Amino acid sequence: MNVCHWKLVCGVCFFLLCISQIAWAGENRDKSDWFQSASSAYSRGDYKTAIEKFESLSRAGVSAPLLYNLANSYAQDGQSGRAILNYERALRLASGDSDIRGNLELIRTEQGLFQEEKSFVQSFVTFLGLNQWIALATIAFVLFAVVLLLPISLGLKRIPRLVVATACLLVTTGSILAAAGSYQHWHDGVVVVDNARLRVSPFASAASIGTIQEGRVLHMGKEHGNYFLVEDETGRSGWLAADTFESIANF
Amino acid sequence: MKSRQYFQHTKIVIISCLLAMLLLTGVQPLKAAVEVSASLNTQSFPLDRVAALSIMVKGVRSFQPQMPEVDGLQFHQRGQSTQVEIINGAYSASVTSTFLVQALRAGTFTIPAIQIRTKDGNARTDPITFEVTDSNRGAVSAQGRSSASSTARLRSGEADEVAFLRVKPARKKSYSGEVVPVQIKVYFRDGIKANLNSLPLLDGEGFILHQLEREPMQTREIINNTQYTVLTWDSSLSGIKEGTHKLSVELEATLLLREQRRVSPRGNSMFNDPFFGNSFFDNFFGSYREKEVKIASPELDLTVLSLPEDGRPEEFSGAIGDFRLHVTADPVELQPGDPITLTMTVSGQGNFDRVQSPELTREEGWKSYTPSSEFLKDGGPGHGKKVFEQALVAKDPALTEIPAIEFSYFDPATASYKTLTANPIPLRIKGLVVEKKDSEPVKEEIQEKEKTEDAAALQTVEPRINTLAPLQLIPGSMDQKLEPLFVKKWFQLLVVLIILVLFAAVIYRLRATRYANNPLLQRNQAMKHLLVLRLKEIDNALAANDTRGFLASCRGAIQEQLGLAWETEAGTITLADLQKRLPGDSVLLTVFSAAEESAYGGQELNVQQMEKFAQDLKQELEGLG
Repeated sequence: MNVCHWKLVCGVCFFLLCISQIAWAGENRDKSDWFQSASSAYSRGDYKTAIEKFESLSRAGVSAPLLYNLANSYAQDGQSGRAILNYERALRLASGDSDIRGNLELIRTEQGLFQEEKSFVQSFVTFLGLNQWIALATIAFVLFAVVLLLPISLGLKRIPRLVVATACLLVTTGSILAAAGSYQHWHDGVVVVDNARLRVSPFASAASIGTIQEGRVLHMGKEHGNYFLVEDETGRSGWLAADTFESIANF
Repeated sequence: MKSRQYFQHTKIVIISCLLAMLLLTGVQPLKAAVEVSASLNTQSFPLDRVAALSIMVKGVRSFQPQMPEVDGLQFHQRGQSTQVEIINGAYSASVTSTFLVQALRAGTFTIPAIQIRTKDGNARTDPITFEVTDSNRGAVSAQGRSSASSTARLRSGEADEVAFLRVKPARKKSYSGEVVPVQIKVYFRDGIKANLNSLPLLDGEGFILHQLEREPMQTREIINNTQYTVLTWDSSLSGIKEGTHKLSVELEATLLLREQRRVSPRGNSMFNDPFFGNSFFDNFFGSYREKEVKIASPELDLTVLSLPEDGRPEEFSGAIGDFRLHVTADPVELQPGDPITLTMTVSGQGNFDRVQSPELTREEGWKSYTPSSEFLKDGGPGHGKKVFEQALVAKDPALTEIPAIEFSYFDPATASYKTLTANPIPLRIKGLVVEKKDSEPVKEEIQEKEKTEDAAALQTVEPRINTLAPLQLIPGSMDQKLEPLFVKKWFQLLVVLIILVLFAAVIYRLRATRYANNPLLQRNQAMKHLLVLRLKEIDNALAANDTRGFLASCRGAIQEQLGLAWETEAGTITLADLQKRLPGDSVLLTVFSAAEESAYGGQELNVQQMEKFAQDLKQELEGLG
C-alpha cells in the first residue's frame, strides 16, 4: 500500500467521523430544543404539555435533570405519586443533588408521607447512591492494590504502607456492603394511584387489609398473576395490583 | 430462707396436683358405668337390601356380643371400632360393633335382647323391631336419584346416611350490612372417602358469605349412633337486601365409594347400593368408585332489617357491631410545623369493611392528611381491630390540644346508634413559626433562574407549589437505561482491565522478589549479560581483523565468566589459576594462553584461527552458565 492509498483511507475515515459528529450534534440539538420547549411549557404553567414532552424525551434516554424536571412537572400537576417516582429515579442517577432531595422531601411532607427516623445503617447506606458506592469501592480497591504492590524503593515505609492499605481495604469492604444494601432497594416501586388497596391474597375478590397512600415507596416481593407481594416503608405488607404502582428502576 | 421454704412448698403443691390429675384420669374409667345400646339404621327396608345394626358399649375397651338366632334373619359381622375421649379431664371409652342384617323373607321381625359380656360384668340391649318389605317397595336412594344426572344432589334429610351439610347462623334476623357469624358443618359418614371440589357456596339472594378459610377445622361426631367426620368453617354472613330470604349452602365433592364384590344369595343388587348399604360395611376387597355429589344444607329463612333513620349521626359510615375506640398521638411535644402521627384504633366485632376513620370534632387550625388504614384480625369472624394512622400538622402554634375524636356506629344488640368519643390530647408546641425565612432564599433562586428563561411567563403564572426548587436548564448526558454501574459494559471492561493489570503487577512483583532472594539466579543473569557484551566485542575485533583486540576481548570474557562462576575477582584470575582448575585440553586454557602470548610476546593470529577461537570460546563460555 503506497502513500496515496494511506491518504485516501485517512481521508475517508476523517469524512465518516465528521459526518457522525454532525449527526450526533444534530440529534443532541433536537433533544436540547425539545427539553427547552418542555421547560418553557412548565414556566407557562402548562404542566400537562411539559409532562408530555419530558416523557417523550425520557423514552429516548434518561438523565438526572430530565427526570427531575419531569418530577417537578408532575408535582405541579398534582400527581404526587408520579412526582415521587421520578424524583426517586433522578436520585438513582444523582444521589447527591440537593434540589432533588429537597423537592422530594417537600412533596412527601405536602402529602403527609412522613418517614420514620432512619437507623444508623440505613443512614449510612443512603449517604451515597448505588453507583457512587460502586465507584468508591473500585477506587479504594485499586488504591489498596497499588499501595501493596508499590516498590519499597519509592519511599513509603512498611507501617504507613500497611495503614494505608488497611484503610483502603476497609473502605472497599464498607462500600461493597453499602452497595449491596442500596441494590436491595434498586427495584423498589412507588404507588401511583390514590388509595391503592392492599389485599390478603393475590385476587381482586380477596379481603382488603387497608389502603396504601399514593407516593409510598414499596419493596416488591414475589409475583402472582397481576399481583405483587409488597412491603411499604412503614412495614405493612400485602398483595397489591400491578397497575397501582410503578417500579423505580424498570421503565 | 423464707423464699426457699416457699419454693419447696410450691413444688410440693405442683407435684401433688400432677399426681392427682394422673390418678383421676386412671380412676375415671374404673368408675365409669357400662352402658349398652343397639340400634338399626332403619325401621324398614326392602327384601333386596340390608340394614346396619350397631351395638355400642360405653365404658369398656372390648366386648364380644352373643348374637341371637332369629328365624328368617342372618347377621354378618363387619367390624368393631373403639373411640376414646378425654373432655375436660373426663375420660370415656366406647366400642361399637357393627353387623349387616339380611332378611330371608318379608315381614315384621324382632331382634331380641343381645347379651353383652365384658370384664366388668354382663349387660343386655333392648329388643329391636323392624319391617322388611317386598323388593319393589324400596326407599328412594341417592344412587337412584343420581341416575338422571352425573352429579347427585344430597340435601340433608334425604341422604343423611352418607354426607350432609348444616348451616348455623348466630341470628336469623340481622340489619343490612351487619356481620352475622355463621358456622358451616359438612358431615361425612366414617368410611366414606371424599375429595372436596369446592368451598361451601351460598345459594340464595340477599346475603353474601364472607371469605372462608381454605383449611376447615376437622373433628369427629356421633349422630344417631353413627360416627361422622365433620369439616367446620367459621365465617360470617352479611345481609345486603332488606326482606326475608331463603338461603342454603352447597358444596361440591367427589365421594369414593367402595364397590360390593360379595355375591348375595338374592343377587348383586342387595349390596350394590353404597348410599343405603354404607361402604363402611363392605368387604375389604371391594374396589372404589368415584361419585360426584353436591351436598346442600336445608333452606333457612333469614330476615334482613333496615337501619333506623331516627338518631342516625351525621358521621355514621355504616359500621354495625360492637366497637371500642382508642386514640394516641406522637409526638405531643414538638416544634411548629412538625407532623403528629395520630393512631386511632377501632376494635371489637362488626363489619370492619364499613368502618371509616374517626374524625376530629374541630378541624380549625389543623392540616390533616388522608389516613392510612390496616385491619388486623383477632379471633372469630368479624373480630379484630382497624388501625388508622393520620398525619396532622398544627397550622396555629397557639394550639394546646388535639381536639376530641368521634366515631359512630349502630349497635344491633340495643338497636340504637352510638357515638364513641376520645378525649382531647394535650400538646406542647415550642417556639415560633419561622417558615417564611426558610422559604425566601429558595423563592429568590427560583425567580433568578426562571428570569433567564421566561421572565414574562413567571409573572403571569402562579405555580401550585411555590417552594419547589426550579427546573434544571441543561438536559445533561443521556443514559439509555436506568441501571447500576456494574451492569454497564464499559464498567465491566474497566474492572477486567484493572484485574489484568493487577495480575500482571503481582506476577512481576513475585518475580522480582524471587530474583532478589536468589544469588545463583543473579549470577547467571550477570554472566549472560556480560557474555553478550564480550561476544559483541569479539565479533567486532574479528570483523576488523584486530588480533590484539580480539585476544584481549577473549581474555576479558574468560576472566569475567570464570570470576562469576568461581566467585572471585575477575582481574585476579591468571593462566596459573586456569592451569590449576581447568583440564589440560580446555579451549579456555588454549585461548587464554594465546592471549597472554599475544599481550606479552606479540603473537599474531590469522582470520581462520580467530574464527575457530571465537566459535570454540562461545560454545565453552555458554556451557559455563
